[in-house]
Formats: sequence, structure tokens, C-alpha cells
Amino acid sequence: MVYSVNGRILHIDLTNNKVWVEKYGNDLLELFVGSRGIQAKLYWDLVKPEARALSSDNVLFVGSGTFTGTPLPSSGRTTVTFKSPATNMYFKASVGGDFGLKLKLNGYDIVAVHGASEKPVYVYIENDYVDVLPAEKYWGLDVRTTHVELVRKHGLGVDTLLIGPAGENLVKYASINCSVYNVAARGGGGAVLGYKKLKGIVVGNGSRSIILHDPKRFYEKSLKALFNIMKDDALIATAKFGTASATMGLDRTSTLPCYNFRKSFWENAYRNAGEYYVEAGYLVGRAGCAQCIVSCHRHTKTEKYGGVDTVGPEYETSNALGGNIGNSDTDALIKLNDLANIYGLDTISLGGVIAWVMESYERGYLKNLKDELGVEPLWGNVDAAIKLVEYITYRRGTGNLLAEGLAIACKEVGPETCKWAIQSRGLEHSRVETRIARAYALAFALNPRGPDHLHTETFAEFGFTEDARKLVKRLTGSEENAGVGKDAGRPEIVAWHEDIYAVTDSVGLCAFIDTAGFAIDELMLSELFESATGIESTPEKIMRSGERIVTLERMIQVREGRSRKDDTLPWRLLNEEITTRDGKTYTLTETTLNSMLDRYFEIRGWDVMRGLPTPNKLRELKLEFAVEEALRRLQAPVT
Amino acid sequence: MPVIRVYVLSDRLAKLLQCNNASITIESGTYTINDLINSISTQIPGIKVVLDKMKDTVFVAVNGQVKYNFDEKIKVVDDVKISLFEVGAGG
Amino acid sequence: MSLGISVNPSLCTGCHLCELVCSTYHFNKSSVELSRVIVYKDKASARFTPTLCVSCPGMPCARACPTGAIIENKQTGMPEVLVERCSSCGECVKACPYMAIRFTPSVYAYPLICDLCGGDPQCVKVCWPGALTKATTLSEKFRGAAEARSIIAGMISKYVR
Repeated sequence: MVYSVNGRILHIDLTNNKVWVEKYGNDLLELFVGSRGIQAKLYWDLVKPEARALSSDNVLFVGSGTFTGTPLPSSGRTTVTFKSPATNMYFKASVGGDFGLKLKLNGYDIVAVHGASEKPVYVYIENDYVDVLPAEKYWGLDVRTTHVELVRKHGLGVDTLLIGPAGENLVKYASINCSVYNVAARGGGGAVLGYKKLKGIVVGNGSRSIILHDPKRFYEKSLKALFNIMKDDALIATAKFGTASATMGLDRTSTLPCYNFRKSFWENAYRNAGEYYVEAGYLVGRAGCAQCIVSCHRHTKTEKYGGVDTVGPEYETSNALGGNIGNSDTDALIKLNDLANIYGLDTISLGGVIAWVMESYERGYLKNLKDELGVEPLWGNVDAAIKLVEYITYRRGTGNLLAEGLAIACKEVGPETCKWAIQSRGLEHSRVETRIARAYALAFALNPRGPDHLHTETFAEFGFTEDARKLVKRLTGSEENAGVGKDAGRPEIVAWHEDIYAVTDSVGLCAFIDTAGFAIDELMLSELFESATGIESTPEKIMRSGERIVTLERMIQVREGRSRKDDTLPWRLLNEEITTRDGKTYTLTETTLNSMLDRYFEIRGWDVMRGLPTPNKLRELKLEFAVEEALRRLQAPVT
Repeated sequence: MPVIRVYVLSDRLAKLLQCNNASITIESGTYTINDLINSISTQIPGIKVVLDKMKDTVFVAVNGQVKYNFDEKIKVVDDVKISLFEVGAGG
Repeated sequence: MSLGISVNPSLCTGCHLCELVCSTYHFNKSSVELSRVIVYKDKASARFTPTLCVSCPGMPCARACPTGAIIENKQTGMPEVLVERCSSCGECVKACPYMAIRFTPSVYAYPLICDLCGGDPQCVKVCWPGALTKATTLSEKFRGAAEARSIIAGMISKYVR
């Protein structure tokens, strides 16, 4: 008997038009905690290392966490797992909205989509009823329009997971959207579904309930967590001003990447900031992921650019399509955000690509764009940016190349241009200056996704709040290590965040609750897990399962060909210096990065030269099935 | 005569300053940010102490631009909008 | 006696937490469909509102009930469903002017109507955005309920053709 989850995985094979339910029990839950961890194990089992991302051999998993559907606030987060066409490796994406919650209340913790359909289809799920239906009439429609049409067809209570035209056109950074505006943005999950010709999944209201092992104890703890959240300074700010309230903190510490990582602060930064949306009247309401009372999403409106009424922008978007491209026009930012929403595009990669275009043009490349777009892609030219979004979505002209992502585009245009293509391993870099924020730098280098924040975000590094500074002291021995621009203690900071993030993702909790704000700690996590599932837990045990998940993810990628040489960052960040507002210069060299990596692998107990979990470590973590792969790598020469 | 309109955006800051918003009329002219803050302190007495003690976490935005250098001069002809807020979080 | 619960639709962020705590509190099981508060969402336009019983004078739900299964709870003043008398006909749902009665027979045989949790409403406790609060005046409560109704009616006309 499982508690807090259904113990059911729904498999859908689009090639053979088959549907079946797989049951799982406490042994999987105990080892892998929930969505992210269980999906990683399923990925290991079902996605061969030689499988191509855009092929019928790829399997895409989506499912919410162990605490989703319970009374615990902020625990509706949903994980999407697939092989990424951008990185050609295991990729975990994270998304809010209601889809994961609704899926769980229909009786399925995870859906696994195998194979590919010949014609556009969508899946409809209502409890035990699962059907694959024709989607021809929705193919080509944007996400918002498609959602409205599907709700009209299936009823007011349904929810959707959808791709937009970008996914249909296999754009390498096409997103998967839940409940319209909640986006599993990165890694090209939209293209994976586009290849499968799966327009989306519709879930009905669902008749299931979540049964907890000790509902009284869980409810008590949930209320405690709730009160902690309501008193947490960081979460109070995030509720009122959204995630783009990070902007000015980054600007002040010169960690706000602008103009394609040529600058790390900007006099116009405030125009991209969450407080400005409130001050200037752009904010008309708030929205939240399922179960989340912080409700950090922004409902914004502008009369300009044809009139926009949308959700967003989040911090990453506000910088990627703001300061990164020299854009201080908040109306335009809202418009660009909406286009990305409805076309189904990852704004971080999109912003990275557009900034690269602008810098390339400035340096004399891509001159054809002037005639092609009818406007020059100069810094801050939002008309050019808007046109580029369309061209990329529909693979028009140069958009066809840009849709492939920076790694491919820069090689095609000229290897010199790869110096300002801010990407590594196929993923464009998230919006923080890692030459200065070095816990972020290390986390980004190790991240299975690529140089990105939404997997292990070490926000405490900034030391903006007392809780953050206390955490840094706890992990590194000294509060002096809080604040950016420092190297000391970064490996310890990263390892802890990786472990707790894996647990957090897997239970469906929003990472802001325990790593940006500090309303729930390891002790509370273990108490919640035990009272929910009935599986004995302690802070040590639950952090160990986090370590297990992180280590499994590493082995998945090792099997796919990853090695220590991939633990790196974009060229510009390892070869060019950055100057702060106060005139101080920082250089992050490969030497510095390598010494952080050495220490990190030591802490992990992995083979340091290879960055490889050892067979003993794998056995210790009950990952025996990965030992063979580790042995194989140990026998191979070091790469 | 131009008016300085002050909006204290963060709730905790508003509690500390015991003020959500204020209006101060001043003469047209050239002022440093410090001068403007001095004018504001006639209505929000705690502002100078707060800005000093919390200088790493409080921001002052003037007409939609955050200012770090309070010696910077600005020309005041029309109303001036000043927003005060604390550092946030995000990702 | 408490004045009940006020709804402020413009503050609702659509998080569903009220529904999950309501069902857990009453049934020891967590589910949206077992909740006495109902959250309506138009995700495409980011418009959300909860609705729940405001204890209308004259209790149209009780009057519509053919078996006398709805009575007034003397402690809270809220309508109470006596399941032993209820025939699951759904007439009360149609009679409710605020669409505030949940009735999903496939999940639970009887209509679900807010009972203020006997006096300490859980949904109000967890609603940080402030869409659900303890009513301070009756007119505030009925104004909010009417606003919720009109938003819901808008959604129905947009989506249910």
C-alpha cells in the first residue's frame, strides 16, 4: 500500500497506439523520493544511451511530486524528463501550473510517452479512461488558443499540457506549457513532443484523493510550513514583486548579465525589475503554481504593441529579453514574454540567441538580417527582437539556423562567433554572472541540464538575508564566505544544494521555499515525508536520497558520453574578464573552476580525475545497477 | 511647484519608516539625491537612518532608475517619483 | 455567530490550496473534488475566483430540496446536508445563486456545502493572497459572492457553448 502517491505510471505508446498502467511501490519511493528521482530511474531503464532525442526511441516523462495534492503549500511542482535535442543527453525540466496536480488526482503519478505518431494527436485522460485523439485542427495553433479550444471541447474543469508552433517546428528550445502560462521551458522538450506529433495532453477533473499515512501529523506540519512561509522575508518580497525582484540585488552586486555578458550591471536595470512592474502599473494580478500561496507569477498588461494581457515576465525572462539585449522598454519585454508563452519557447535560450545575433551584427556578421528582417538587429531594437522570435518559431530564413540553438548556429556562421555564443554543451547560460557568483559557476558546470539555474540554485551565496548567511556559515564554517566574488566553500555550498534540490523537486516542492526563502528545512522535509508516506525518514536519510538522485543523474549522462571535460562553462566566461560597477575586475579561469571541481568530487567521494562516481560509492548509495557502467569508464582512458 | 512623490513599496520597509507614501513640495532646481532625501526626511524622519543602516539591501529609484550614488545631481522641473524597496529573491 | 467568509476574486491566484485543506479537514483525504469551496479558473486570461456558501437569507437550497435534507445549522447559521435524507437529486445545486454547492456524485454521493469548519475555517487560514477572509460585514460578503458569480458566468459563457 502506498500513501501520498497513486503508485501508478501511465505508459502511452504512440507508435503502436497502446496504453498500459505500471504499478510501483514503497521500495522505489524510499530510494528515489518522487517525481524527479523516479523519472530518472525510469529514464535509466527505458532510454538507451544511443537513442536520438528527435526519434521514436526517446521517452518523455511528466509527473508531479510526492506531496502534490496534499495540503502542504507550494508543492504542486511537476517534473518533465526526456533526452534533450539541444544537449543530446538526459534532461530534467520543471514546471508549475495545475497539470501535474490534476494528473495525480486522475490516478497517475507519472505519464511516460513512448514512440511517435504519424499524424498529430493529443491524449485525453479522465481517470481510467485514456484516449489518443486526432489533433489536426489544433496543429499550428498557439498555446493559448489551443487551450481555449480544448477547454471548450472537454469542459471547464480540464487542464492542458501543450506545445506551440515552436515545438511543432522542432525548435531546439521549444517549451512544454502547462495550464497555458506555466512553462517547462528548457532543453527542447517541446521539440521532443513535436517530433512525436503529440500536441498535448488534456486531463479531466479526476476522482482520486490523496491518502496520507498520518494525515493529522502531516496537516499540522503543513500549517507550520505555511506560517513559516508567511513570515519569510524573501518569500514576502517574491509574493509581492515576483521573481524579477532579484534584479536589483544582482545589479547592485554586479552579477546582472547585460549585453550578452559584456556588462554585469546596468543603469536601466530597474525597468526590468519586479518592483517596477508594480510601481508603473503593469501588474494587474498574481497567479501561482498549484498549492502555492506565494503566487509569484505576474499577471501583466500593456496597451502597447497591439495590447498584451499575459502572465510573466519571470526574472530569467526579464533579463534574457531585457538587459541582455539592451532592452529597457518594459512594454516590449511584456510583449516578448507573451510571444514566447504562446509560441512555446524557452525565454532564456531565446534571449541568448537574440543577444548573440545583436553582438554578431555589431561585429560585422549576419549582415543579411538587415534586409531579411527589414530592420537592423541593433542592441535594444525590440522590433528586430520581435521579428526574430517569429522567424525562429517558424524557421523562416535565418530563423531556421537560429532555431538550432547557439552551439550549432555559431559554428555555421563562423567559429569566431562562438566566442560570444554564451552556451555550453548545447544549452544557453542562465541569467547570472558566474564569473563573480562562483557557487553558481560550479553548479552550472556540473548541472546535467547545462549552465543553468533551475536544477541547483545556490541563491544563498548572495547572502542577502540572515537565513542565507546562516546557511553559508553552516555549510562552509564561516559567514564571511557569504557574498559573491568569493571562491571559498563553494563546493560545499553546491553539494548541499544539489542534494536538497533533488529531494525538493521529487516531492513537488518549489525550491524557493527551502533555498531562496527558508521556510522548510531538512528536518521538516523528513518529517513531512514520513508522515505522508509512512516510510521512515530522517534528515540524513532524506538528504542521502537526494545524493542518490544526483549521482544517478550523473551516471545516466556518463553512460550517454559525459565526462569531466563537459563540466565547463561558455568560452566568454572562462576567457574574458568582467568589471563591476566599482571598477573591480574578475576573471574566472579554467584553473579556478578545476580546483573547485576537484574539491567537489572529493566531497562526493567520486574519482576526481574523471568526475566519475566510483563503484563503491554507487553500492553505498544502492545504485548497484550503475556499477557496470562505472567500471567500464574506469577502464577507459581519461578524457 | 514640483512635488516629490514617495512610494514605499516593501511592506517591512513601510513598517520601519511608519509610512507607505508621502508628498513633499520643493522648488524647481538642481538637487543631489542626498538633497532630495533630506527633503523627504521632513515627512519620513527615519529615512536617513534606514538608508544608512540598510544600505546593502534597500534601493532608491528616482523616476524609474535606481540610484546608488547619492551625490548624483538631477534637474527637477516636473514631479519626481521616488520608490523605496528592499532586495527580493528569484531565479 | 460569525458573519461567514468573504470572497475577494481579484486577489485569488488560483492556487487550489483552500480546496485541498478543506477536503483534508473534513474527509482526512486530500482532493479538489471533495472540497466545499470551489475554485474556478480561466487559465488563458489568468482570471480566478473561489466561490463558497454565503448562507443566503431564505436558504434557496433548503427550499429547493424535495426531501427536506438541508437544514440550518444552529451553531454556524450555515446550511447543513443531512445525508440520511438526501436523495442526491441535485436540485439544491441548481437553486444556489452563487454556484457554491459542489456536487460530483462519482466522487461523493452528497452535495458539499461550506460549514465554516464548525467555526475555525481552514481555507481562510491558508489563503495568504487574501481571496478568502472572515467577513467583516454582510454587504461585503454578498458583494464578493456576486462578483464571483459574475466572473464564473463569464467563464461559462466563454467556454461552454
